[in-house]
Amino acid sequence: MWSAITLAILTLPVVIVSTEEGLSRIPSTLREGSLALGATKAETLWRIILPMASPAIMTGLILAVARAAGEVAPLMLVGVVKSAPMLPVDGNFPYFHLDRKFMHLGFHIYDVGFQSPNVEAARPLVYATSFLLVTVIVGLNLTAISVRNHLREKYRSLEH
Amino acid sequence: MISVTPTNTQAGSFDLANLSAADTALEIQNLNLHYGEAQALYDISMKIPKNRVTAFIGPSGCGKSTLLRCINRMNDLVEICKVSGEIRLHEQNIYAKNIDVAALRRQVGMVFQRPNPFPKSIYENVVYGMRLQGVNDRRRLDEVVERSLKGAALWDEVKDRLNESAFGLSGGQQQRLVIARAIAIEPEVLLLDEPTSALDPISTLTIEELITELKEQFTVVIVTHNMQQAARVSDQTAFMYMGKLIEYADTNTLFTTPQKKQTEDYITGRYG
Repeated sequence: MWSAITLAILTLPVVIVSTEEGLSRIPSTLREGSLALGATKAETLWRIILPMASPAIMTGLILAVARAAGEVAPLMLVGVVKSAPMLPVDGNFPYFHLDRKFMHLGFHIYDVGFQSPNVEAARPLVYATSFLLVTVIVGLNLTAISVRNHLREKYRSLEH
Repeated sequence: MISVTPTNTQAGSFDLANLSAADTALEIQNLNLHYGEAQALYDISMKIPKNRVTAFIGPSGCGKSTLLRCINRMNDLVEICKVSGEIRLHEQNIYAKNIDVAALRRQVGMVFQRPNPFPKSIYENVVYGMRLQGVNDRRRLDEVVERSLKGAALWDEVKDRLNESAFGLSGGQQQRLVIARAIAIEPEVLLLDEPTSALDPISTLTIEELITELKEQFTVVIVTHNMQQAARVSDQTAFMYMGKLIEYADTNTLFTTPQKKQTEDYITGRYG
């Protein structure tokens, strides 16, 4: 759980910047239009602003996940282990077991590549793990880009 | 010299200074407005009659839009704006301490200069106000949509594409959609802030005709920088200059025999 909090704090700037940019693109005339119909600020936020900003917020979320995926050093300090017998997420209630140990791809690369007794034999494993990690991160970034393009399409006509 | 001939003669025009309570929609009393240190409105007092069109005219910067925005308290959105004085709707001061501003805005609707439809379908735009009030019954909303779009002279053009995005409409159609959206919640007063200044002449004409119909159901207050429009459309006209109300009379009188020299100078085009 502490590692989750650490990573959340670490990736906060990415989410903030992305959300802020999304919100700033919403013309204030829309906010005024909603208020002029008798909506409260909260209703305006929930019904107009957040749906319009949601693609940007989602982009921020995905980018944050992608960044967090590459962060190994904080996790090494906070609590990753080399090999865990059970996953923190499984089919038993409450599904998220925050107190269990977890593993991490980045740490696995470090561990296998530099801490194992036989470095040569472990090398293919290191490459495979690295490849997997890079693929995951690239995949997440591509998803973020396509979400952003979808956003641009949808709200293009708003840019007068 | 620009000649302005009012083309609507209203039988039984009001004595604006002595309007009865039954005929008054809004009463503005000693309204002063400051933006921080600068004063924008000076001691405005006037009574706005029910079910008529009242126009605010004047050169740029005279405070007509500011005054309009006071009526539905949109100026509250500006932090440094301070208002003193009263505006009475139904004998109640809308600037009193415990007034529910959202409820006020349901009774006093506003249409802005640039059309601002929401990024939703035409149907969802019109029913937005109704949904805010908790009305989600499909049949009732369908009725409201038809009534409002007919009332805004847009029904025939969009009845087959209610679920398409509002952005697919032209500027004039979008402005009529915004009007439909405003009248869907059946306010008492409709405030129009230069509603046609961003539109082409044909859309302008359509909307002006619409305004003349709207006054049967609503009290309409329109701000316009186009004098001819005020003459065509309104029953009463208020001329403002530098934040002060200079003259307020029925449109015929104001445009043919203005009392004040400043009014005469403005309507004869001595200054814009």
